[in-house]
Amino acid sequence: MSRRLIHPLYQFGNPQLRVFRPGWFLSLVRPGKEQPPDTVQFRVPLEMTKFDVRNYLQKIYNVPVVAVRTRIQFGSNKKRNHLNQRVKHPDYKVAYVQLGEGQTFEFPNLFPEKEGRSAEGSMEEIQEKFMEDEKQRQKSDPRRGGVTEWFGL
Amino acid sequence: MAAVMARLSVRQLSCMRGPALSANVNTNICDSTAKYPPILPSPTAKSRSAKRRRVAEFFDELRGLSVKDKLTSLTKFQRMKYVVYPQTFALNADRWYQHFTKTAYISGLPNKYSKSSHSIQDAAESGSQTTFSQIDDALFGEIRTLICDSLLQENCQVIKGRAFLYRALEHSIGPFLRNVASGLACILAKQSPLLRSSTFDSDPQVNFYWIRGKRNIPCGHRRGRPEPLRFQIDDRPHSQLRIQQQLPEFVPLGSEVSVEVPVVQHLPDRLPLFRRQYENSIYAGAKVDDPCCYGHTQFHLVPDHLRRDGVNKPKSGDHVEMAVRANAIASLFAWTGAQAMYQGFWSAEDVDKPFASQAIITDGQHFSFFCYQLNTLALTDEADANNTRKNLCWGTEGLRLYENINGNQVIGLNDDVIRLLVQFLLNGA
Amino acid sequence: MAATSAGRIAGLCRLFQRCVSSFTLQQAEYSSSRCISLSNRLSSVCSAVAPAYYRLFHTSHSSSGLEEFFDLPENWGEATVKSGGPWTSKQLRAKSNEDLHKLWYVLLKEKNMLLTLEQEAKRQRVAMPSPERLKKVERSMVRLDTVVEERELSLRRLITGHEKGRPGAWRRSVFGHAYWYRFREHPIPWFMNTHYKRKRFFTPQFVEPHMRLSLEKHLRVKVRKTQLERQQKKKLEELFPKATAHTHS
Repeated sequence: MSRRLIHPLYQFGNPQLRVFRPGWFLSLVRPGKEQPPDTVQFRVPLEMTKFDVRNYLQKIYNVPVVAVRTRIQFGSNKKRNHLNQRVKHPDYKVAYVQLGEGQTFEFPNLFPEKEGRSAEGSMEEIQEKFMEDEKQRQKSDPRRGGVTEWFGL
Repeated sequence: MAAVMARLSVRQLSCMRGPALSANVNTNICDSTAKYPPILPSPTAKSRSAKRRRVAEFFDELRGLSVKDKLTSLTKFQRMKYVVYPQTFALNADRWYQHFTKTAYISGLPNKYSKSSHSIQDAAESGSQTTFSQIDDALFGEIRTLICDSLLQENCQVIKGRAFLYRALEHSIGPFLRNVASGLACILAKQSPLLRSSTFDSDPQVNFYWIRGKRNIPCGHRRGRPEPLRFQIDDRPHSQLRIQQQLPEFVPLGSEVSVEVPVVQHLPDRLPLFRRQYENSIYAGAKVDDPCCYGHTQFHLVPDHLRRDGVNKPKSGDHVEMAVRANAIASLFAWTGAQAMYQGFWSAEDVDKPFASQAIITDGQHFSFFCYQLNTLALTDEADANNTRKNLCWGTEGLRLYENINGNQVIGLNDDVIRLLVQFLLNGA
Repeated sequence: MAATSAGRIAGLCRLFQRCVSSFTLQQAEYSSSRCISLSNRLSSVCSAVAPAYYRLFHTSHSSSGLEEFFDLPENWGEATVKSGGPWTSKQLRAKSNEDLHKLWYVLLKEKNMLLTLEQEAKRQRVAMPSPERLKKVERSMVRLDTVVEERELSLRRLITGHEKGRPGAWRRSVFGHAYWYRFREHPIPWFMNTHYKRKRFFTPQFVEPHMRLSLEKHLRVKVRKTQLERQQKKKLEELFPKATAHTHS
């Protein structure tokens, strides 16, 4: 669905609203404070409700959701730019989702250190070699045994 | 004063005559007051030892006060505290509440009741129960008619208006439970002298305030310093029975129990538990002077969102049981704790004899029975360091009282549940 | 660098092979290493897909649909992740409605994954690998939207004769402008709606001088423009008179 959506008005007895092609995007975030193992933290659009989050995760991702709690984080309006105008950071809604069926989730490390990259592309190999040479040049004479240059001889 | 004088004179002498003291020095005055006065840290200094001294003096002062003054002093100081709701929507609340109250949960009832609870679970015929020697058939028949009549009255005979939103159970089952509880208490009073001198409260208040665990203050001018976590329970059980003598303990105080108290590493904020600052109150249902200061049984109604009929489908099967357990643990801990504080025990003066109470939580059809034994009130960090005691809670799952109500007939009335109810109420007789 | 899963997909069941033929542009399109997510979507259509081909990082209790919020584990820590181009409107118009519907969800999950990665990169103060993927997905989704809207528009025109799905009317605002007012649904009639009645759809009399002035301004601008064009043409004719013009042979 595109922007500027207005859903049909709901009155008692109306059929359940179905949203085909939802235009909402969630992002899983690493929790700032320590959370219990069954709790997952999401940043959701401001218009989404708890029921929306639950249905979204259950239908699209097939995640068993038992409880959702939300709060709106105010984005700061305090910082100023070089023209002394206040710069507003966007507000966002945070949803804490508790998983069912005893499932747990731990936020993984998405940027692990990887070895053996330089062998593949020649450009990177040259760059890495250059960096290594530079570092070697910067190091002091090992025969001095850690004594700095300040001490004359 | 004399000792000080003596000390001064000896020192002066030693200064005049050099380091070696001659035998002519008169030390008799020193001998009579052999000890120096104890070197105490200043009570007003800004130091940790001074704080310790102040705390120790406060505790000593507390030990000498009467119960009312003790309660006032302990609850005088107000700060932000976690408000624990026994009837909560939070998930896994029973584990968290067990951690807050240092309770070990044991499924099944204590040995007193275990025979009858076994029979209910095995659905075996319980024609001759040795524990029921007191009940004769006529009395049992009377109890059955009472229960059937109350059920039919509530479900079929009384014309009820609309209930408040999300408070339907109060409207429909509340009167039934009140009838049954008070009626049973009256009938069994013939058997039990304990019940004859008991009080039946309708919609009482039970409040309890305690301190458990600590955290480091994250921000503010007191950042980084340790702060104890304060909790408050404000409970409104449906009804309760208070007695004049203490219930006998279910299990002796020092006995080993294999079940462990679960420890939760996270702050209570993660179960969503919110903090407020208001009056710290400790109240067991009646004021301190009341002769019926010990608790017997509490009756609770299940909150509306946990109803088991087709109205709300619970999210997971165990959800209802967990919520009921959390309710029982929190309510009973608050009640027994308040009873113990009414007798003058607190975290520095731990209970010498365990306080026992019972609770029955129902939604009209399913009855869950719980027994609680308070072995320790020392839950603060300092008091808990060497404390091996833990509180115990026994409980059952929901047992059906009846299958169905059809017109003017109660179908499938479960006698075992009634027997267990009666046993519960006759406890301590 | 990025694990190509084309080979993995080709090994799937025959049902999927049929669907693959409709998605002939697997390699060229923006499917990247996430094709397997499409297979997961389509597997709800297929009855029996070998479970070995599911993305099973761990078989313990903690596996759940939440893995789809992250890239394939081989790509974690890489500096760049290869991806094809975005879907073009022409390609999308060739797809059926069901395929477009499924593609929407594939793109949605991809976008969620990229947003998660972006946020985590900001958190760890590390550069996000291949941020252009976000733009590609965004553009694909916009084009999908336009294609679906086109189809809806043509259907609506055929069936009802209306062009706009939402009813509206030309109304005059308080400031004198005429604009297309789109109707909203209300539970009460307009004469009971106090908020609606405060909004005036007529121009009061005292606004007419302002309307005249704005009209004059508009006309003056228009005239100035035409005059400018005429002058420029005249100048050009002076510089390059018609007599001396000759065509290329």
